[in-house]
Amino acid sequence: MNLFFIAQVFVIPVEQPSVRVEDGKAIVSWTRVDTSVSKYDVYRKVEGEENIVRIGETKDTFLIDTTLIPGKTYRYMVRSFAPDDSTFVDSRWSQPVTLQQKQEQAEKRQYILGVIARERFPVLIFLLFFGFLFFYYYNQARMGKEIFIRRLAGLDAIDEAVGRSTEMGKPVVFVHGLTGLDDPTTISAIAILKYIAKKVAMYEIDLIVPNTDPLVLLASKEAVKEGMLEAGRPDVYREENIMFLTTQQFGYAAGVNGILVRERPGATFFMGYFYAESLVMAETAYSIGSISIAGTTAITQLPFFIAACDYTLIGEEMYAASAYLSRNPVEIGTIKSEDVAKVVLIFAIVVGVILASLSQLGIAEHLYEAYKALWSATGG
Amino acid sequence: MQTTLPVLLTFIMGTFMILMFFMPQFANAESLATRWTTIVWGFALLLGIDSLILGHLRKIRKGGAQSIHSWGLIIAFFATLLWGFFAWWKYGNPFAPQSSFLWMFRYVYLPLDATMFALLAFFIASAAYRAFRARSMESTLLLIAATIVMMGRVPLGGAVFVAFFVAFMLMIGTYMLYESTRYTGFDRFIRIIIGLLFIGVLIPLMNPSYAKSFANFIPGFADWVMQVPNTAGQRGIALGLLLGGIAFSLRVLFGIERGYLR
Repeated sequence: MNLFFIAQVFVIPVEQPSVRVEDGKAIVSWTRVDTSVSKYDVYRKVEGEENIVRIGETKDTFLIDTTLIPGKTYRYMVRSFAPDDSTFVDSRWSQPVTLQQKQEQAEKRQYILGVIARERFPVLIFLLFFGFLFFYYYNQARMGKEIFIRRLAGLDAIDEAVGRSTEMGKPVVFVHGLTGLDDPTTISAIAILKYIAKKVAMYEIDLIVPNTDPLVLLASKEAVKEGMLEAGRPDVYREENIMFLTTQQFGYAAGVNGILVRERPGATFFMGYFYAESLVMAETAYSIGSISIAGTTAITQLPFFIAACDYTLIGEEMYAASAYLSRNPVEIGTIKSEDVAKVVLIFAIVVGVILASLSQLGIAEHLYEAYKALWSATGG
Repeated sequence: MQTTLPVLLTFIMGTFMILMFFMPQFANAESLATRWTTIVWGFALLLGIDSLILGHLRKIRKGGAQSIHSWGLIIAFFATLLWGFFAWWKYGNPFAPQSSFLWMFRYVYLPLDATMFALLAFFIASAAYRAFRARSMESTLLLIAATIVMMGRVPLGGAVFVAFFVAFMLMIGTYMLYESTRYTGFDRFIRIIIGLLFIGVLIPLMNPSYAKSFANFIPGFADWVMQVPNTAGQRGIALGLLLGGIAFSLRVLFGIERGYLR
């Protein structure tokens, strides 16, 4: 019993972590010398400075530091914790590593036409091809050609959900995802929010919008105000209903759950890019009997929303939502270009699979030999 | 003007960022733009905090049973802020290894965060119960796939699956044999054959080596489900997302999409 206790408290330290720099990040790795270690903390210091900074903790035997500044030299140390989490031992400091200045990295790159990075050139070709399709269908729509877009049940249900809230005399809650305004998903969510605000203003019910990003908070306030103004009911706007909660993931989930349980909304919308908090919030909305409509581009969270919500906008439907709700034929026209590009990409994938399979089976060489023989037989 | 200026700014900055992607030699300009965003975000955070504090002060002023939560938030907010400043002053960094703020972060904040995350297990159970009710062809397929993956991913899952499979086949076989007593002629014959088939399938499993092979097959099959049908579905969605994202960005960049503007 006593031996067990001693083994719990003392751990064998990691000797010295090794560090390599790749793509502007430092990958700190070490060997696990004691399996009883509960976790590792990684610390960093800049050569020539006293300050020691904790980078993070992990149970694995590596950690990636993405906060390097070019030109500075760093050393790393790993702290191993005993299972009681209060006893720890430190490793030796690593060998120094330096993140090269960007100019040095740039010198190693190859360029096309002197300016375009060679490794990104295929992306440019695809973008130009897609841009051509985009503007082709944009012009077609402008010239009055009717373009069909299938019905999106999740968006059609918005009116029904707001109407239900009105009948029940309950508010509507709109929950943003965790990403900021630099994510197209958030921009699309704000366009949907504006549409909902317009509907809510018509029915004179409350719209509550909790936020996790302060910039999204400001954009949301503007979108709701504008939506209500367009509906001719600016008096329905309540600034205190569009609030900031926290930037922390589960703090945000706890805050949203609190609002859902206290306010008991008739309809809840989850629009944006979500992580593990998605189901915590969506199940709470279900448990209070709220009709819930979700839309996300986070592939890993889609199954949770599909299981927990009444309607779900899957992936690209989220991007099409704004165009769909606007009923603007020109905006809808641009969606057609996505379908055409999809057909081209699927064709390219099928051709690629066939060619790769032929090569794998060794048939490609035979075909090439046969082609050469045929060519020489015809006097080529 | 209220719309033209934001659209123009969006076009200029969007085009600039796209060009920077293809011309990484000017990456310094890109990081400068990213730094601008960080500065704007920092100031916007003050507005966020203002919204949070004012909102809760308003609730406290209004009173009522719910105001206790607002009191909790205001006290916790200022206590954390002051503690952070104190640790900064004393140790040079609130997260210094010997800092009491780090202790608070590790033993108060992280357990609370982990508690919220842990609740996910219960929410998954209740959502799975609803999703797995075999009411349609799709939900039945979901149930079968999920059962196989779950059995394949847990220790002894293969053995549990074999036991589950034997019990299921025996149950169906016995039921069919029992049902056959209520029929005559061809109907009875068919039910006896089906019942015997269900039970007969189990005969090879009486051989321990076959039973072991069957148990070992389940984890491999679970991996196949995850790597082939699941990945194929995810890639299909990812392809649509990629094209949808580009089309949406082009609409925003060229001012065709203005739903997010005033």
